[in-house]
Amino acid sequence: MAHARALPLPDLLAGDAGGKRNGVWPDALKRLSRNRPAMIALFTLGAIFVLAALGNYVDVIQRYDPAALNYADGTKTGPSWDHFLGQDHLGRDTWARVLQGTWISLRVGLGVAAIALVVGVLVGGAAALTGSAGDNILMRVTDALYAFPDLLFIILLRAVLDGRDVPGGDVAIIIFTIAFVSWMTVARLVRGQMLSLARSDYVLAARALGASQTRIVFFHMLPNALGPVIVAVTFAIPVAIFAESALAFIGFGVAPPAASLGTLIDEGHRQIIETKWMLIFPGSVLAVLMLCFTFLGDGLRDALDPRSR
Amino acid sequence: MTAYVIRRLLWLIPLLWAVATITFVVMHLVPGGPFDSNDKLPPATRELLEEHYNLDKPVYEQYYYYMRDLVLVDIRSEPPFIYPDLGTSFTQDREVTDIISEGFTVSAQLGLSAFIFALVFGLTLGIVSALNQNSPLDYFAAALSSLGVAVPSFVIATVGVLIFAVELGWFDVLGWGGPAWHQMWNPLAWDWRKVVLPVVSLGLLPMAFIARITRASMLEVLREDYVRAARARGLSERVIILRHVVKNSLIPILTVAGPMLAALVTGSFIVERIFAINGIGTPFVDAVFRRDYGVIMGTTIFYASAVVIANLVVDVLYAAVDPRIRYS
Amino acid sequence: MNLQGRGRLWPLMLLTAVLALIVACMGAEGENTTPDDESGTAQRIDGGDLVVQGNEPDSLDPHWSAFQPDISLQRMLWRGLYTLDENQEVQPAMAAEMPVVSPDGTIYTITLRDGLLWSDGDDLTAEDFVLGIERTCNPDNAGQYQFALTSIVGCDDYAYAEEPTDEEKAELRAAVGVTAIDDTTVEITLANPQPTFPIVLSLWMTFPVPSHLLPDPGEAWPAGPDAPEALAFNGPYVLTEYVPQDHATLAANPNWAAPDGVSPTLDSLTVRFIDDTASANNAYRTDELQFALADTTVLSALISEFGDGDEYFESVRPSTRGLQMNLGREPLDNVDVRLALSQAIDRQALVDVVASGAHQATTSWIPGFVPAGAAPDAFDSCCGFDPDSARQHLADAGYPNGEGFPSGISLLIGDSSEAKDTGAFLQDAFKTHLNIDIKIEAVDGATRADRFYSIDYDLYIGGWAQDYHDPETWVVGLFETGSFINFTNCSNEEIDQLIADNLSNSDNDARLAAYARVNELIVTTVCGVAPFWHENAHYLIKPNVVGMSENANSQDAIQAGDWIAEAWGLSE
Repeated sequence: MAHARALPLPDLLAGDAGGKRNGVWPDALKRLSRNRPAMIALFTLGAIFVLAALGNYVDVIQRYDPAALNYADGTKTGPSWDHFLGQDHLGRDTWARVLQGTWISLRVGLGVAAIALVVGVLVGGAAALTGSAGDNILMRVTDALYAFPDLLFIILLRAVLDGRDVPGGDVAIIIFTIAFVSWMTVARLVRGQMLSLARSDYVLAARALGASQTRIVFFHMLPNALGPVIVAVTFAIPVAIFAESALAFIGFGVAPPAASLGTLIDEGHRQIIETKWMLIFPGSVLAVLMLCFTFLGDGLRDALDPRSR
Repeated sequence: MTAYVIRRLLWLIPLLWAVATITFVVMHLVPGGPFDSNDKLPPATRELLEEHYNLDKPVYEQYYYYMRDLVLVDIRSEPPFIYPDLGTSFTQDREVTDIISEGFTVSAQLGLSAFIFALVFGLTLGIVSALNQNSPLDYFAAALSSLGVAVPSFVIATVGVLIFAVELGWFDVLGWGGPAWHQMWNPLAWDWRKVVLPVVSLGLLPMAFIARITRASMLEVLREDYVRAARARGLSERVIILRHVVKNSLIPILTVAGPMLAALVTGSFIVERIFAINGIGTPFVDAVFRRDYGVIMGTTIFYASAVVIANLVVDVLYAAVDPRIRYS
Repeated sequence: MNLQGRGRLWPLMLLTAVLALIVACMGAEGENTTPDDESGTAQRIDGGDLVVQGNEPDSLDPHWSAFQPDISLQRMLWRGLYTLDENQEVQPAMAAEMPVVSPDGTIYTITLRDGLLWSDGDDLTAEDFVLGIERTCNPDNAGQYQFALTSIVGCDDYAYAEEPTDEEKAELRAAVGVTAIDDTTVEITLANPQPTFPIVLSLWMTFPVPSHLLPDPGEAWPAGPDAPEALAFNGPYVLTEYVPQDHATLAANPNWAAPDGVSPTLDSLTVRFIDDTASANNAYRTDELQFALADTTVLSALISEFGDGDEYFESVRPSTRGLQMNLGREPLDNVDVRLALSQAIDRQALVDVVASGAHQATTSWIPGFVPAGAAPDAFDSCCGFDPDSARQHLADAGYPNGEGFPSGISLLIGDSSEAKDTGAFLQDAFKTHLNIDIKIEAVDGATRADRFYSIDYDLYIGGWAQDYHDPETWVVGLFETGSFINFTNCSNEEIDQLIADNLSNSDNDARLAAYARVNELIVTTVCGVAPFWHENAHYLIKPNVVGMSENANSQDAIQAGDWIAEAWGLSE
């Protein structure tokens, strides 16, 4: 593992040593804050997140019900004062739809990343710490799932869960299916990190000082292993959002009247001969999201891995 | 090394068994059966069909039959290969192995071409932008690869078709222009009018990915001590770049190459659908929609083996390139 | 995905026709549209290569198929004893004349035309037709349209034999009531008289088998890629190349015995398999295709681009779509609720907004051009769009302004973009006009069908395409209490009585009047369905293509006029 190296004890996360500041995380934050593209990306993402959240819950910002068909006002129209981003083929307000779609796509991306992080850390960590038998079993299971062709298995799983009553509905199903094929990378990464950290000097030192196993794992190893994992998870977000748009293309996206950015882009690209607006607006938001997550991921990697900058 | 490869290959057997079993279970959890979408089929006829394909049996029995047929290989005289019996397609009344072998030829060519496209252009962009860090050239390369990162392939394909095929007439809309395998190295055997758009649509995303990794990796290597040492020794910049920097920057690319190639070969169904290309993606997606169990199973097993073997090849290559890697 | 076009032909016919004394051919003149130039200026020339969009068939086996793309291609390659002309009338094809029927109506004697040949030069004999029928009845073949031959003596016994031994199979096969008296005479024995039987003899499941190549009825039919070598053809075309998922190429059959003198003139006919209509339209623009199905999503742009009547054509399909309701579920068992839902649908807006005006808005279940059908606006006053009346009905049902209406009523739809848009439209309409919330469940085609057949839904977007040109195909089996394809729990004594009384009614006027009344009852009591549009087909055809003449037949399945593909050709 390229990232496997002994790093200073992360005092910040060690809890009791509140005042000292010479660990990896503050340094990383400092480096991240000096990375202009990453910071721009972070602020843009924050702004989009806030706008999408407000746009889904505050009527003044949303302006129209995204499910309301105002076809009497017109369909496939361009931007106007009444409809900031125009109307779609059913007369729905594209501004409201894009806000809704952004919110759903963000939920998909972040939800997948969160599940991949939690499951990946648990499985990878468990594999690294349970000794060779547990390691073997967990990693072989991971290998088997890793062998599935991602997109094909997502489609198959989506078909299994299609139309089932699940708390959280369609979006939860989509998050689950994509997360199902996403956590293995994280698990392998965590395991590799843990294994090399276990042999590192400071873990040996901590052990010699009589720290408990749990304490070593949670306070010494995990924070140090987390850097590359966070980078990987950040990159998993745009991948998940893209995967959702592929599902939308084959008709397995969220159920109407809700729409993700993928659904909107799918609708837009079908209408491209008649109106380009339906593709341009959701497409631009998706592109901005993709680029921001990518820049942020690059920035995090540079910050957490001080060799490259 | 040899022992390692053999062990990995043997490991393929339980792995494929697991893949087959998981797929089998998942697939039978999907509501509906292969003959359910037939609007007016009378119940008696449906029963007859289900009996014909053993679908009336309990699921565990179907599993037994499937596994039995999978293990008993069927040696055909020509071509003299060993085909596992992947069963029959319920909706097309054809052998699944035939469906896969026909479709895979095309998908593999498409995926490989997109991979090579991504590799060539991604490396070039990455190297150029690393050597000209923060110059206009760097920004141009970043913008170009942003396109791949930021726009879904079906949008690239649709817009590409409208501009370059319909408006400009440079390319065709339909089909794949790859030659027979033995003609692969003959550029004249390729129908470029049918190749460029699908390959670019599919390859832009991995191209962008490779460009970013290459750039980062190059920048890292350029700061390494041995590069400084080479410079100090007065070697020409050209030699330094080619012999030391590029070669060593390739290692991280190799780690992503295996999964990427697998994803390209298995994930091309959107592009296949838009360009009406007869690959394996469409049969698989249709099979899921139509509950064609035979095709779902066959495709998944086939691809899982392909993914595992691709990863193995990459691991071996990795060892060849980077002598620090040891197999235990 | 091409699930909608899947096997919706003929399954009911035998059930009903055993009793029926009707002939299914009530002229549909005036409704057949002919997209092609009829002025006579466009003369068909000899030669040329035509490339048309199609969908890939599941199988080339006419004795197994139930899928429209299969049937479309099979009719180009093989032809039965009879064929249906553009007025839906049975005409001799490979038979010399109409069958001679015994006085009790059970024995059909059919004489073949002289000198019939397969494409490979072998004689086409009565035995080949016998084998065709036997293949469809064969249990090993498990033909999906076997039930269409139920009335042939011994066919069901053969098809449904419980694990027969080879000897038993041979015996059962011999017992099937179809024999070759000599090389040119086929005799078919029916268990019961069936006046519509000649129609069956026009259909794919009775096409002949090249018995010199496939002597055994249980033998697998060669798959597409092998078919050019392994099969012989007696239709207007022969298959010269088949690339799965890509295309099939056909050439004129030199031994085609044109029943009405129409023979192919094309050098080659290529059916390019394309599912994505937008791609097909782009390929049409770049001249890679000379015929494509128009992408109705952007219909108005296509019409202005290609010109109505120049390259763009529209034709009526004998098909109705509507909002189907499960009457077994509360509150849909209440007729006022159903009427409220029906009256809350602005059908014209639905067609214009969701379907880009591609279809014909309607309130009638049976289309007007079908005998006993009604004009699209015939029931507008009772059941068409009327928000005030809809609210009144809802109030009468006990839900004034939607208050107290059960939550969780859901609309089950497929995953096509048109289905999703229709769902969104209906959901919005019920919210706006009735103040009730319904949920949308979008599932894939197979799940949707499974849920529908097991009557596990509240509301459903579905419909019907006619099997043959007669009103009974629109109602029989679908609306009677407890019938096996009644998936809406519609139960109406008058409908039951009318259908029972008229299945065998020889007084055609009275019969049609009865079906007209059934149509009215279905619509006015919303007995399982609130029709909203009749489907139209939309095509793009290059100006130099001639002979694509439509009929409103369900055998006219994919391309314009593929029921008589031998008439296709190119002009100068």
